[in-house]
Amino acid sequence: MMRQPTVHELLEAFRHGDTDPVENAHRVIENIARREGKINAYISLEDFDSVLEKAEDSRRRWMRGAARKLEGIIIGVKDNISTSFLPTTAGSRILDGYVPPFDATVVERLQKEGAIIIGKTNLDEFAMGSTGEFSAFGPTRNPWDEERVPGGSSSGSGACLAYGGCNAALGSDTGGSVRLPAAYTATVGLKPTYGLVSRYGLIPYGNSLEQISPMGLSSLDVALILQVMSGYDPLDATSLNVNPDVVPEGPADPESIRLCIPGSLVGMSDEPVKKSFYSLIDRLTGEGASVDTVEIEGVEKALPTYYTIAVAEAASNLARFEGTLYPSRGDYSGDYWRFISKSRGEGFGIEVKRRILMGVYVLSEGYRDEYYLAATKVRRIVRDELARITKKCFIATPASPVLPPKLGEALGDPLKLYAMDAYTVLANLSGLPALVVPSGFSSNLPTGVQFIGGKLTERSLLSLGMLVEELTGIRGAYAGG
Amino acid sequence: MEESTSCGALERLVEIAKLELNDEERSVICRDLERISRYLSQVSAILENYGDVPPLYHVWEESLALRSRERDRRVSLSDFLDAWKIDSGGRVKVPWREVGRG
Amino acid sequence: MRVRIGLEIHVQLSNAGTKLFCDCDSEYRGFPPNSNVCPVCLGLPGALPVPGRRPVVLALATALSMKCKIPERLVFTRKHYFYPDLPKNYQITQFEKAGGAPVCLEGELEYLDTDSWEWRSVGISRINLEEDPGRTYYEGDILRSRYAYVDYNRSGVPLLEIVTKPEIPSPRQARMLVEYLLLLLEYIGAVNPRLEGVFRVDANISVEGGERVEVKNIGSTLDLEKALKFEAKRQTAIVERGGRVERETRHWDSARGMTKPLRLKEEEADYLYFPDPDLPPVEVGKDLLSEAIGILKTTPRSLFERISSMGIRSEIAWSIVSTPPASKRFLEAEKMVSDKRLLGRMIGVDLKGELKEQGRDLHKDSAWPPAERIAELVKLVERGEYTYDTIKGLVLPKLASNPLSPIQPLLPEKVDDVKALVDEVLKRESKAVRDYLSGRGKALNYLVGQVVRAAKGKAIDPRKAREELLNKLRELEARG
Repeated sequence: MMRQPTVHELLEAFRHGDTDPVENAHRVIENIARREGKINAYISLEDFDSVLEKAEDSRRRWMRGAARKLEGIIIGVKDNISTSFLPTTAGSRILDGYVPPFDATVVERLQKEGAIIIGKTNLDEFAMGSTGEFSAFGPTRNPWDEERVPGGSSSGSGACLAYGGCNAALGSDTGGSVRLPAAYTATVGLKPTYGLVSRYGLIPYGNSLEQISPMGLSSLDVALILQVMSGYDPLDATSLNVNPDVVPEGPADPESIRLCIPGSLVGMSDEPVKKSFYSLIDRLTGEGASVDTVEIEGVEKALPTYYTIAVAEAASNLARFEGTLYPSRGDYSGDYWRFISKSRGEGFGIEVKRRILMGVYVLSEGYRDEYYLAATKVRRIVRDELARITKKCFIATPASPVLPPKLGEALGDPLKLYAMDAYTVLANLSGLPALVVPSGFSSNLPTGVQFIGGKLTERSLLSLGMLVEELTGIRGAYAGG
Repeated sequence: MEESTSCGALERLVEIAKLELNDEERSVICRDLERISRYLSQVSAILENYGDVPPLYHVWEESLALRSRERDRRVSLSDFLDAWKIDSGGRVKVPWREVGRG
Repeated sequence: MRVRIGLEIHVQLSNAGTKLFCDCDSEYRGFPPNSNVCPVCLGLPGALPVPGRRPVVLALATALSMKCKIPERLVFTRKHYFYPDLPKNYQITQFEKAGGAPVCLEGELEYLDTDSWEWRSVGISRINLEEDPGRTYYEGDILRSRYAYVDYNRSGVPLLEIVTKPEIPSPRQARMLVEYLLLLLEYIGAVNPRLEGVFRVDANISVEGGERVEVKNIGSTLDLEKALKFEAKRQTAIVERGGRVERETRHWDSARGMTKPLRLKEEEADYLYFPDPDLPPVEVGKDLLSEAIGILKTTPRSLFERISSMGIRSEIAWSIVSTPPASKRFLEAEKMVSDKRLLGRMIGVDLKGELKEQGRDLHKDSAWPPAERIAELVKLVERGEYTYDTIKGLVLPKLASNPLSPIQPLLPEKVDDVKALVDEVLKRESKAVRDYLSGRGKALNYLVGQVVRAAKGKAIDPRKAREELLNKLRELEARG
């Protein structure tokens, strides 16, 4: 397997002078120039000269010993995270041309520590999708197999990492949106504890479920990025008043690891996925980890529960887009309500429309109790159950029940598409942190394993991720192509 | 019968959501809506096995910290809005009424 | 015919300092259009609402003043409808039927009936704390304007929606209730009631045997009484003719002084309420409550009762209480003087009247002289150095036009020799003297007047003049 340097390795090399940020920037830019035309990981890119200038500043800072925590690290930011210096489209035609007048808190924090944001990565429109194909700016291809999807909705973030178009990336995870791409691109994605990372500046899809989430080429990289971007933000009322140290000292001691596997849930996976998953579990037990099989109450209803809540919040969040305070095309006149219906009709893609209409449905009078209210109650059951289990073990599942599908393969049937999130939504419903790391390759396609931990156990989750990397040898995987 | 019901419902949803659909979208969503709503209705079914479960709206059920005056974050509309949508007095122009010309 | 009125009063917390969910100014008037806006109140995607402490404390104080049931946790909900002035196309409010918890459910508002000087009370169904939308302007008629022009300076200003039970017995009572409510909110530092558009009232009114009619768009307490009187009369006439009052929504046309049916049929809306996922509940803890109780120390009622207990007539006490700078002066000066009634009369009647006469803004603190000056005047009267009438007639007008002036230069020169003046007048007015001596007592008043006149603007105590006159006249009488 071809390798590329991780953030941790880069920082070490910068420190020792083995390489420098300018060299790194040149390498990243070269990769972009070579692969981007086909892969389509970015919606917008910073001017390369300005990237090189920033890299040069970083180089000087390393030279004079004034380097900050992420000095010279190049980061791709999902295009639903607000930046005042690059357009922020959320992958939607309705926001094409919108440049926010403010930066997301995470963007401010990363830049303050010397990170260089090189561009805005592709995504399913408003982060609604599991394959990346619902972007209004065209689908992203998987650098490991260009006929396949890289997973979504943070499709561009996973893809740019895999082909070396960034050193680390930010995604957002509402129901698995960084973990699915991580699994499909042999990278690492962590959905943090709800409230650990500020959502200020994240264009909302399902506010009560989602977190801006780091993606990287290793668990340690994810930890380094998370360390900088996490922590209390007074601008987000759901932000937790904590500032934990999330960087592990090293891989976890396998003998201290207890895993719980929801057997029947894992049983729903396709054969190659199951095979890859259980072979990793075997290696972990071989090293001394203990494994239990558990049944999680309410788990079979987690997916519809998740979708009910997500579409309700989405319908509400997306009400603001109607072509007045945001870019608009065509005739700007006529009856207000006809005008906005038309703007919204032309601006949103089919999946977004489907979810808005479902959201209106589950919230509307006469249906609210049966759908939305019921889902909030089942959410409590699921949360309590997962909180109880994760007190004694990490829940382990495959990241996705299927291997990366071919482009177009999963598009026709929304329910089949939603099923790809069966394992990931558990963490969003329960607010718990969940990590996906590569578990191996199955016929040259990456597979990932997911671990869900207790509230604010990011540090131990990431040390478990480091342990898995030791066992698989997959760290800094490079889809050379 | 199911189908016609959900398509009737679709008109009401489209009206509330202010979302124009073309014919193709209408037929696709009409079909999906019925399937998806049936799928989502499993959720309430499971509650029959439980007693009274209170809804969970905010996952940690924490209370929020109120804001004390922080810093001025005022912005100017021209920072993000097309200039032609702002009238000479600085107000945002929004289409309002269909008016016959002349 | 019996009338029943319920009110839905929207009041901006104009003095909260900040908007409800961001740090833009709560007092948006005077800003050029769209210059009191930020990502939060413009509803830009990704900007998140965080409730401000001050608006929440003010809302709690309001709820406490109405003896409300206050929930342990306040929960905000989203209410969805599309309108140009609503940038997110949902309003953050506190609808209790969809998981929300408003700042008050079930309370009671006591207000002063200033006709009978009795306290009355009306039930409060609930109070919501919510965000105000922006302001929309049209080219001419709202129904014919091609564009709406939106100014978001007002968007996000904290708004209280106070809903009374439909148990107010008359249009005049409705007016007095709202006037008292506004004064209460002014006292707790929440509202400046004189700002344009700071409150709006929707009223529902029914007469016996008729359905309930809603009247929208009432912008002043005077209009409220007028609109309700109009409506009561209109409905009574229908019932007396044997007709039926239908349930409908009408619009108050202030210029024409009449209510009109709303031409736009409001469609049956579905607001898709649900708790705002961006806003965890606000715990109503001890610290918030004690802060709210702290600002409730002085209410118009407590003040009115305190002032009345000093033997001051209700009209005067209310005159002082209803003008906060006056009550502030009264409370300070009251500690410096012993004759409280005199002080009450000076502040509540004569100084206030003089300021009004001179066209000053009675609610502007700087229009009023400092309390020590007022107390000084009262003490001059108490010590008998000047008469109240002298102060009222010669000093208050000067003080009103120059409130920061020291008192000494404003005081008229005193006649130092009353006897000389009396002698002079008696010498001159021999006819009046004769009249008096021949038993026409009335002539004495004339003579007193002449003595005061002879003082030529200098201060003289008429009682002293009368005393001196009587002494002299007695001497004359004795001499025969």
